[in-house]
Order: sequence, then structure tokens, then C-alpha cells
Amino acid sequence: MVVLAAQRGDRRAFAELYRRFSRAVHGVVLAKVRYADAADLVQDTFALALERLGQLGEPAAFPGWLLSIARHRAIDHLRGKRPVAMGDELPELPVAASRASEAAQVLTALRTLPEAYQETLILRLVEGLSGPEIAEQTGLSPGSVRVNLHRGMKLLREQLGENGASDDQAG
Amino acid sequence: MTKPDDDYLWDKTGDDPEVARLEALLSPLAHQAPLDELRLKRRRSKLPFVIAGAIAAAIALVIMGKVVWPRDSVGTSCIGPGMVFSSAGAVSCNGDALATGVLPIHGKLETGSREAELTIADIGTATLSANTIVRLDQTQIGKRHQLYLQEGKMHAKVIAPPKIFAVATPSADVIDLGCEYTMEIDRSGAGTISVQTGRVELETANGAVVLAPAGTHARLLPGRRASLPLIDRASPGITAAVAELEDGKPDAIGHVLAAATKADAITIANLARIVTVAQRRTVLETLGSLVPAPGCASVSEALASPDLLEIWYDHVYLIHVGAFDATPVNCATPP
Repeated sequence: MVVLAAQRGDRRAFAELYRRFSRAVHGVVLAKVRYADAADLVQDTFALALERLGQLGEPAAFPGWLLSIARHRAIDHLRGKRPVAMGDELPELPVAASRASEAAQVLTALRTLPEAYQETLILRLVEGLSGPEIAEQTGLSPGSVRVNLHRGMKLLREQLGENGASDDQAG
Repeated sequence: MTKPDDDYLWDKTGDDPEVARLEALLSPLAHQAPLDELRLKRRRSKLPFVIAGAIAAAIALVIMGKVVWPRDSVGTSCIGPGMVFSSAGAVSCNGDALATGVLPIHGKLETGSREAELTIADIGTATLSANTIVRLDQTQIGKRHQLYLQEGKMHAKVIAPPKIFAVATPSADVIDLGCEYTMEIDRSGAGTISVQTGRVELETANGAVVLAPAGTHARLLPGRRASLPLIDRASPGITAAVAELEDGKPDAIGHVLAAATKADAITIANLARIVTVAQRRTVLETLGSLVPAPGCASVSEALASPDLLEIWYDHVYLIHVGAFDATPVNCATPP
């Protein structure tokens, strides 16, 4: 219903879509681009979505459609740029200096996971969405999200190592 | 090291200190910025809203139609609870000739030479063509509404959570998952279903369920129930191969797989749902060549994980409805 209202031009409905889905969009682009560029791409994604909303025939497909726009915007943004390196982001992360290195390291590890896992885990660990919220906001089935979280977390634990850097700096 | 609690990862219940610590570490990176209205104004285009407005107006007319239908000429055997029906002239409700009324539970509506419209509670409408016979089997607001289409043609348009509305026929059960579709059943009980938006669930001959999304159609076969859904622009080759499958010909699966193109991935994903375990690997290998599994998971991994299979089928569905681009994925190098 909110999607239909937004398609009719209801700006409050579109703002509600932004409120509901902007964290999911941010998580999807953050899986690909550096942190400092992600917020800008979120706005860009919603601007593009507003422009194309009339072309969406199936309101129920809105979450997957929106995230598809976000992925493409992120890929377009990366064209001609070198891959995000851990050191690039370190100064721009809004975390205490003592933890910035670890945050950058975990973010880098997340980005090395298969796409389905990295996006789902970023939505969970960075954006703070629960599994059911991720399912609702991505259009994936709850079962799929649960598998992605489980498998992704297993791989992330392996990446970070049982006694790796993340534990070293805990505290 | 204690075993991690997956419940915490899933819904934040239970306890997993490592996940909680990573959350605390990364949560400052979460998105918080408000919507940039200025940027929207720069890019905004009016045209899509004109199209969307026309669609919305059409929907509003349907809803208004429900509201203004007269409901006072109810026949003695056609009283509630049930579904309101309306026609430009008299149709038969349990043998009573009525233009409007309430089709009661277990009641039969025969349209004769006219069209009629049934209001499916507050979730949608079913338009019945001439020479159509339906029976109302169940209607409970918020729970379940079920019709039996004995013969004729019905166009259903439903906006509701999945599995609230179902239509049974002599050949197959159709369960609405939130959509618009047209069903036609002939006197022998055979027919077709064509899905315009959303998707429907169909039960197949072996009791398995397939999902027919928008842009597909399926045959409804007496005694054998639903066929595999085919895309509306399916080639003659795959159409013939699916017909062979319906007839139980021994090499039919191979013919379906050989005839499938990337556009037919939704048909192959559904085939994977209904074949035997022994046949599934071959079907999934073909599916993988059309639409690789998310994360480039292997067929063996998918076979070992029902959840992963569902992820794959979801992925195929989302590509089919245009939610994802079908951009080729190179899985030659494992991620």
C-alpha cells in the first residue's frame, strides 16, 4: 500500500519507504564502496528509485527492486576506481580511534565474503537489523536470510580467526 | 570456547558475545542520514506518476465498485454470511434469479449469459465470465476464503497476505500468494491459469507444489493437476517438452532441459521442485548454467541444503520479475 501511494506521487509515502529501507540500501552499498561514499549513494539510489517508481509493476517486488538499483549504483560508482583498501577508510570511520583499526579490519573481512553473505551480515552487524527485518527489507525468504547469516558468520569467524585480531582488541 | 547461539544472530534473543561485540563495534557505521529532498527534486520526473496515477485510479474504481453495489435484493437462499455478488442482470444463486446478493457458504452461482463480480471480503474481487459456475467453500475474514471453479472463466485480483485466498478446480488447487490471475476451466475439468501479477501456488500431479509467477501460465489437467508453469513467450520446443512431461514420456525431463533458455529458468527451478531426488542433480546443473546459485554455490551444496535451494529459487524468481538484473555471473572462479 505504501509503495502504491508513493507511485501515485505521495511524498509522505516515499519518505516512509526511505525510513523503512534506507538502512538496507546503506548496507548493500557499504558492502561494495567505502564508508564515506555510502551515504551519498543511498540518496542517489532513492532519487533514482523515485524517478523509476512508475515502472515497477509489482509493489511486492519493491525491496528486491530497490536493492538491485543500489547494487548497480554501487558498481557504477566503483568503475574506474581501485578496490577499497582497509587503510583508505580508517580515517573516515565514525568510531573511537582506538577501535577504528579493528572496525576497518572487520569491514574488510565482511567484504571478502560471497555477496549474499556479506550483504546479509552487514545488514545484521552494521545496520542492526534482525533476521526477520532483513527478510522483510530485502524480499528474501526468512529461511534464506537465516542460512546467509549462519554461513556468513561461520566464514567471518574463520576470517577473523578464533584468536585473531578481533579478540586481541576486545575489551 | 562456548558454542555460538544462532538465535541471537537471527533475532537477537539468546546470547552470542562475539556477535554482540561485533555489533557494538560496527553499529556507529549504521545509516542515519535523513532523506535529501533537494536531490529528489533535481531528479524527479513527472511521467511515471501519470502512468501510476492511471493504475491507481483503476484500482480505486474497483474498490468503489465494491462499496456502491446494492445489497438489498437478496434471495431467500442467498443470504449471508458469504460473498457479495453483482451482475448487470439476473444470474442464478442457488437457483434464484438475482442481479445482486450474497453467495452463501456451499452456495452455487451460475452466470448463464451474463458476467458477474464477486467481492472477496475486503481483499479483492473475482470477475466471472458468462457460462461460469462457482461454489463458495469457505469465507472467514482474516483467515481463509476459498472458491470452487467448476467451469467457466474467472479473473481474480487479490491484495492480501499469502494463502488467504484459494480456488479449487476439478483438476488443481490454486492458492493465491497475492496477485492477479485468470483461470479457465472447460466442461471436462481441464483448463489453464495465466498469472498477470504476483504469483500463485499450484499443486502438481505428485503432490509437489510449484510457483507460477507473473508472466507465466500453466495447464490444469483433470486428475493430474497442474503442469509446470511456462513463461508466456515460451518457445514451441519447451512447450512441447513440458507437454511430453505431462504425458509421462520417459525422456521428457531431458527434452525440457535441452529446450530451456535463460528466460525459462523459472520453469527449470519449478522442475527441480517436482522431480525425484535422483533426478534433481541433473535439473539443478541445467539451472546453474542458466542462473547460477547465489554466491556461486555448487549443485552439491544446494542439494545438501534445502534452505540454500530456496535461496536459489527465490533468486530465480526475483530475476524473473525483474527485481534483479539477469546479468551473467562468472562462477568459474569460486568466490
